[in-house]
Amino acid sequence: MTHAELIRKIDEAQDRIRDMPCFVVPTSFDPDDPELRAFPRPLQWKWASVETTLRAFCSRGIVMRLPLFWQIEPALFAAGQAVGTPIFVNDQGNMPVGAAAIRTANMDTVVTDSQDAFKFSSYLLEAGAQFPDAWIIVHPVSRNEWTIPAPLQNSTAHVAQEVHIFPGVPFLEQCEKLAAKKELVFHLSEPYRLEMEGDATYLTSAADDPLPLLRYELPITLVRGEQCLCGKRMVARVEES
Amino acid sequence: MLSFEELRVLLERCTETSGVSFYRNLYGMAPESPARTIRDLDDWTSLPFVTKDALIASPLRERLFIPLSEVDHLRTSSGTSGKPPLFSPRTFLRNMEYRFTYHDFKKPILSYTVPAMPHWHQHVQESHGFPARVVTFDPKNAEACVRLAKAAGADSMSLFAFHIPLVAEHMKRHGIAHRIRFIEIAGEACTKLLFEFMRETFPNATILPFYGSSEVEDCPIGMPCRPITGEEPLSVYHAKRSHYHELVDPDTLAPVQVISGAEGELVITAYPGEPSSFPLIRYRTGDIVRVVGDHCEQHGTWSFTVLGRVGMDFLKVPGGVLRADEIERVLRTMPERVSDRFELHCSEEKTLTGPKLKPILHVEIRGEVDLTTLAQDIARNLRVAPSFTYNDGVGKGRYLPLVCAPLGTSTHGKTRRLSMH
Repeated sequence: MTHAELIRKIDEAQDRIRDMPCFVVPTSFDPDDPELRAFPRPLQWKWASVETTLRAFCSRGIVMRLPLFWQIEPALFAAGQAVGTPIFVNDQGNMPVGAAAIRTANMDTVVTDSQDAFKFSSYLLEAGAQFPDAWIIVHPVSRNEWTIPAPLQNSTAHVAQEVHIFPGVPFLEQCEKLAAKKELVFHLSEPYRLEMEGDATYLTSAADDPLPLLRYELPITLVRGEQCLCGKRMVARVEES
Repeated sequence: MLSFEELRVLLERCTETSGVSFYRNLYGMAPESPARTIRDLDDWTSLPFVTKDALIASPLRERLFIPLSEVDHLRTSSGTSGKPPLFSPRTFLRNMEYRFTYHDFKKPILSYTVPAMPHWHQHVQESHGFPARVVTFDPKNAEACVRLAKAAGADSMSLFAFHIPLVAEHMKRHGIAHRIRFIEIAGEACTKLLFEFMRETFPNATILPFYGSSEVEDCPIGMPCRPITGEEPLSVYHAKRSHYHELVDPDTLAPVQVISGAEGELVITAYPGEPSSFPLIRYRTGDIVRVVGDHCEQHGTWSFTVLGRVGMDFLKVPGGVLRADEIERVLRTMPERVSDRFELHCSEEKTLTGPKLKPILHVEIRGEVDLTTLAQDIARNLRVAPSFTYNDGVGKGRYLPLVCAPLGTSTHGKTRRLSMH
C-alpha cells in the first residue's frame, strides 16, 4: 500500500469514520499539506512507550511541546497520570514560558518533536536556563534525518527517541537500554510487523485498528539488527548514500 | 455558595500548623500558632486578600496542598507588566453538570486547551457512557483541525471567543458550520458583534459563556445563568455551590453591597472539595462585575455580568496578549517621535470574516510626525507573543491595522492605558 493508496482508502472510508469507535489524528506532519486526512485510531490506544519511558526516567512533570494539531494531548496526559506525572502544555512559540516551567514548576521532562528539540535546547543554552532532566523526542518518519541536538547528545540528560508514522502514531520506540545509548536504534512497537524487500520496507498494523495498515510502504529503508539486552530485536534506518 | 460554617472550616484547614505555608505566611502567623478561625463574617472580611502578585511571589511547592504527583495539569497565566508567568496547579474539573442541560456530548467536541483540557472533555464523555472523542483545536493550525473535526463528526466546540471567527471561516468552507449544536466560549467577554456573527454562522448552536480564570482551580468562576440569546447583558453568571463570592471597591477595597446594578471587583473563595491542589481564599480576580439580579429565581443566589478588568494592562488577542508594558517598551525605542505615554482604545469591527480587533493608539507626539508611518513602525515592533508581532497578526488577517492618533489633553490624568469598547 503506497501513501496515495492509503489516502484513497481513507477517502472511501471518510463518511464512516464518524461512526467508528475511534479518535482521529492527521496523516501528515505538515498542517498545510493538502493531502492531510483524518486517520482513525482505536479508542483504547495507550501511549505505552512514553508511559514506560516516564517511569524509567522517574519523571516528575511533563512539558508537552508537541503541536496541538497532532491530537496527542489526551494520550500523553494519560501516560503521565499512569505514573503520577502532571502535564503542562507549552506552545512551541513560547519558549520563555517553557523555560520557566522547568525552572520554577518542577517540570523536568520535555516531550517534543526533533525540530523543536533543536530550537528549544538552543534557546535554553543561550538563555543560560536550567536544562530539563529528560527529553522524549519524536522523529517524524518523513524527516530526512533523525538526529538529536548535540547538547542533548553530550549532556547527562536522559533522552528517549521514537519515530511516528503519522503524528501520534509511534511505530519505532526505545527501551531504557537503547535510550541510554542515545543512538538511532529502535525496537518495533508491539502492534506492528515489518517486511523488508530490497530497499523497500513495509509496515503492517494490528488487525483491530479501525483502518489497518496493510504492507504500507514506508518512505525510508529499515534494517533489522541484533537482539537488545531487553530481548527485543533492534531496528535501524539505512541512510541514503 | 459556601456557607459561613464551610468558610470557617476551610480557613482552619488552610492554616493548620503542620500544613502548607502559603496562607500562614499571607496572614503573618507565627510558626507555632494554631490554625486561624473566624467567629462571624466581619472576621472573614478582615482576612487579607490573595492577589496574583502574591501567587507569583510564592513558589509552586509552597502553594501545593497535594503532592505534585496527584496534580492533573498546570495552567499558566502571563505575568502582567513584565512579571514572570504564574503556574497554577489543577485537579480535575467538577461541578460542570450544568453543560448537559444544553448538549448531550455524545459526538466529538472541537476543544482548545482552555477553558478545559481535551483530556477533561474525554473524561466527561466517558463518565456518561459515550466514546471519548475530542478533536484538539490548534489555533496555529486551524484549518487542519477543522478538517479533522469534519471527519470525526464534531457537533460542539469549546474555544476562546477570539478563535470563533477563525474556526467559522474554515467550517463554512468545509460546509460543517450548520452541524454545530453547542458552542462554549471563554476568554474575553462575548461582544454583541461576535454574538451576531455566531448566530448567523452557526444557526443551530446553543451558545454558552464560560467565565474562568487560570488561577482558579475550581473553574468556572461563574456558572452561566442562561445561554447567550442576544438579550442584554449577553453573559450572566451566578456562583456555584463550591464558591463564595464577594464584591469590593477596587480602589478602597471596602465591601460593596450586593444589590441589583451594583458594581465592584469580584473576590472569590473557591474550594471544590478533595482533592484540591490549592483552595483559594478571598482571591481578587481583577474583574469588575455588575450585579444583574440580587436573587436569581432559578439558581437562588445573585447573578452578575463581567464588565472588564481593573486597571487593565493586558488584553488577550488571537495569537497572544497585547500588553501595556510592551507598548511602552516600543514607544521608548522612538523617543524622537513620541513619549512613552499612551492610551490604547480597542474595539471590534465587522468584516467579511467575522469581527476583528480594531485598536487606536493615542500617543504623545513630539514635533511633526506622520501618524500612518508611526503606526506601521509600532506594529512592526509590538510583540503579542515572543515571536509574533502585531504586524504579523495583521498579515495573517487576525487584526485590523493599528491606527495612531494624538493623545488629547483631556485624557491626561487618571485614565486607563488599555480599554475595550
